[in-house]
Order: sequence, then structure tokens, then C-alpha cells
Amino acid sequence: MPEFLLSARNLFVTMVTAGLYAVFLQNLVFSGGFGATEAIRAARKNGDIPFLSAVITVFTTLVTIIARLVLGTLPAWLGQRFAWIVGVYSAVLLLLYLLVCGTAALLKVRWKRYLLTRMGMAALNTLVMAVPLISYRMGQTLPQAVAAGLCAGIAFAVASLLVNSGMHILQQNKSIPAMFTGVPATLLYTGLLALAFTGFTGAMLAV
Amino acid sequence: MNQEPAGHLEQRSSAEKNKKPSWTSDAFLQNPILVQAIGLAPVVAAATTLRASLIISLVCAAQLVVCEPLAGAVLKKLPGWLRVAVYYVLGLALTLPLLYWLELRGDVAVTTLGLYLPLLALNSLTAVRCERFAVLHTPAECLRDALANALGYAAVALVVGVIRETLGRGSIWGREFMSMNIRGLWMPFGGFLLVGALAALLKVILRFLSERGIYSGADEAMELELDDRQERLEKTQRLLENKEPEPAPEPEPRREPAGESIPPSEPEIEPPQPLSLAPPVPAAREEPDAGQPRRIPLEEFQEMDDPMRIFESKVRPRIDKMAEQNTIRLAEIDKELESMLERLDDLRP
Repeated sequence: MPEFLLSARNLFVTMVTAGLYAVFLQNLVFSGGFGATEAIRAARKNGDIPFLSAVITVFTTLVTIIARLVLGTLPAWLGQRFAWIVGVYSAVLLLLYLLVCGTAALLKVRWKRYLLTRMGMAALNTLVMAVPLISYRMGQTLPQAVAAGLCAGIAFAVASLLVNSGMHILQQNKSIPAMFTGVPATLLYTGLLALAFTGFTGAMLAV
Repeated sequence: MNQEPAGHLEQRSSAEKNKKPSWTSDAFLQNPILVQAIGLAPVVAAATTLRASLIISLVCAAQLVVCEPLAGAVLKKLPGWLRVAVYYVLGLALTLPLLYWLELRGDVAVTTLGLYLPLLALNSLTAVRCERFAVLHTPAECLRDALANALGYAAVALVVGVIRETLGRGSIWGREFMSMNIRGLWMPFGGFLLVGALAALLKVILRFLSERGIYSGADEAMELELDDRQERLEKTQRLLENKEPEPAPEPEPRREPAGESIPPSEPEIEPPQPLSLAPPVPAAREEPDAGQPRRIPLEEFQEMDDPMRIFESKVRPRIDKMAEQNTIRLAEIDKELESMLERLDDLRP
């Protein structure tokens, strides 16, 4: 097999592995609580889940790529403190957000209002920043980090849909005691989902 | 200035506009974590020790105290999407220097909090409170709301931190005092379960206070579920509004049978109305068509709620009329009996 095909195959397998890891093994919504508020609120109105997932995917991927390129051009002493790294990633995310929203505000399109009212929650949340920073701290290569970014939106959608389906069942169940209806039941259900996803990581709970 | 569109964060209902900040209401009845389920990530995942919870609480409080009055004073003039970016910048201005200082000191909090400390700048609590409340009120009211929400957030974060450190590690503030090691409490799923249990406990406490009449405002908290209050308010208003009746279906055109022609009907001439000094009789209510529910006006619906009013207006006149009729009938019977008795006396020898 030619060399470039072997490299492409290895690259594809690496990215798929990193993507599956981000969606199932390390679903940051359940295993880290990142974006949990947004996932639960999106689960309440599941019509927004596709938009939020798409924005999370795009922003996470672009922040990963651009921030790594920027860090590559900066002096090495900048990487000695994590605060500087966070500052660079935050600046990239902020500039990207302002660019997208500023462009949308200038356009005269039908979906402008829908986009501008939801972009804040979709783009500026803990999940969008957590995925690139965790990739950096884990020392993932750029393809792995890009795959993790691409699958971050899928992970968010999986989490929101699971919570949404559970909320529907919980609301129809009349045998739930009054003290647990509503937010308590949703949080407990989300905790049980998080327990299941924690099991995927192989974490040991028993001493 | 761009007109601000309403959306996820900017749910401006009349209830929010007219709402006055209250310490107990914002801190406990509308607790941001246990009732509104916002700002979950740091508490669920990072508040594993008392010290970490304290840092999270102080940072969130500082963010709220800075952002809310600023939003109430100046930022309300900006478009909504730009305001959210400003909140993020202000949050970074608070968290990044703190992170840098803790790193220089080699503080253990950097390890405990890890990624969550810089991500506090993206805490949804700040954005939600600023967009829902701060942009609609004065800076003084915003400051009070910020302190109340910070108090409620800190109360939950500290309780969660104490429980997780005590039962999870057997220590308080890093000092071990017993041998406990429940690993599940260190992990985010343990945080979710603990916060869910605290939310249920809060509901029980508020219901107890409401039933005892100790705090009348507790009933409001029962309604603050995950569902959107604005949606339920609008749904309730739609149910109470009088909707216009559906247009009556057009009558089917008359079909002329073959060979016959139906002469056009002569227009009816209304007889002249006699003059009357009696008060006009209210028009009879139109009976609804079969299968179509009658639309009840709001005033009539409110009156129907009072049984005494129904009795006085509808039942008593009928009883009086029946009694009056029975009285007349009895009087006639008495008169006939008297006449019969007189005739018997005449016939007696």
C-alpha cells in the first residue's frame, strides 16, 4: 500500500478513536459537568438541540485549530503558566464569537434574530472552552484535538436527548413523590446517566 | 441603538420587569442551583472540598456583584449578543489573575479546581441573571439581586463541598478527622445526585413552611420547576382570553328539483314593536351548536365560582315563583271547601 494511503488510514483511525472517546467514554457533559446547564435547558426545548450542537461543534473545532496555530507562533515561556494558555484560548473564542455575531448582525436575513438570541448560550459555555483545553492538557495531537472538537457537538446532542427523553418519562410518571418532581428528579436522573458514563471510563468506585 | 430581541437569556416577562429583589426569594425560593438549575458545572464537578467551594463561591459572587450593576447601569444599551461577550471579558478579568496568582504560589486549589477555575468566567449564572433581571432594573436593585443570588449559590456550594469532603475523604479543610472514602462523591455523578437530593430537601422545607403559614411566599417556589415560567404564564393567559367564535359555515346552496322552480320567498315584514316602559330584557344567550362548547365570558366564569351567588340569582327566584303559585292554589282549594261546606249545611235537614 502506498505510503500516503497508510498515513491517511492511520490518521482516519486516530480521529475516529478520538471522536468516539469524546462522545462516549469522556462525554464531558456527564463525566465533567461541562455544559450541563445548557444541556438540561436544551433538553427542555429539544427544538434547539441541533442548533446548539452545530454551534458547539464549529466553535470548538475552530478554537482548537486557531489557538494551536497562535500558540505555535508565541514564545515558549508563555506555555509555562496555564493562565496564559487559557487567556489565548479565551481570546480566540471571543474574537470568533464577535466575528460571527457581528457578521450576522449586519446581514438582513430571516434567521438573524434566531441566531443572535441563541448564540450567546451556544458559543460561550463551559463545554466549548473545556474540550480544547482538555485536549491541550492531555497532549493530544492536532488531528485528535480536531476530532474531539468535531464530536463535541455530538456528545452534547447525545446528552441533551438522553435527558429530554428521561424528562418526558418522569413527567408522565404519577407515582413520583411530590418532593422529587421537577428539578430534583431531573438532576437525579442526570446523575444516574453520569454514573453510567463514568462506568465507561473504567473508573473504580470500590476501594 | 439596536432593539434587543427576546430569546433564551432575555425572557422579559412582565413578572420579571415588575419583580422587586428579595433576599429570601432570590437566595432560597428561586435558588439558582436547586430551583433554576443554572451554574451547575462548578458545583457538580469542582466543589469536592470546602476550600474549593469557598473559592468558587467567592469568584461567582465577585462576578455577579461586578456584572449585574454594570449591566443595569450601562450595558443595557448594548445589543444582547454583545452584552454576553462583555460578561465573559469581565469574568476573565477576575479569574485569570486569580489563577495566575494561585499557580505562582503553587496552591493546591489549582490541582483541586483544575480547569473549572478559569471556566468560572463562562458560568451561566452571571449571564442568566444579568439578562433576565439586571437589564430591567436599576443598579441598586441589581446589586441587591447579585448579593442575594451569590448568597444562595454560595450556600449550596458550601453545603455540597462540606458533604463531599466529609463523606468522600473524611476531612474538613484538608484536615482528616475520620476514615471515610466514598469515591463516588468526588465524581460529577455524585455531585448531580447530591444536588438533586438537596433540591428535593428544599422543596420539602418550603412546603412545610407554607403549610404552617410561616412563610407565605414559599408557594411561589413550588411553581419554579424546570419548565419555563414565561411559557406557562402565556399558556394560562391564552386559556383565559375570549377567543372569537369560529365563523359559521356557509349554508349549502338550495338545489332546485328538476322540473320545478321554487318561487323566491317574500321578505318578512316585521310587525311594529309596541311601546313599553319596561326595562329591556337582556338577549337570551345563544345556545351552542351541538358538539361545540360554549365560550364562557370571563365575568360569567368568575361568577360561577360562587355557589351562593348562583343560588340567589338562579334558584331562589324559581323557588319563590313556585311558592307563590302554590299559595294561590291553596287559597282556591280553601275557598272551594268553604263553599262545599256551606252547601252541605244548606242540605242538612
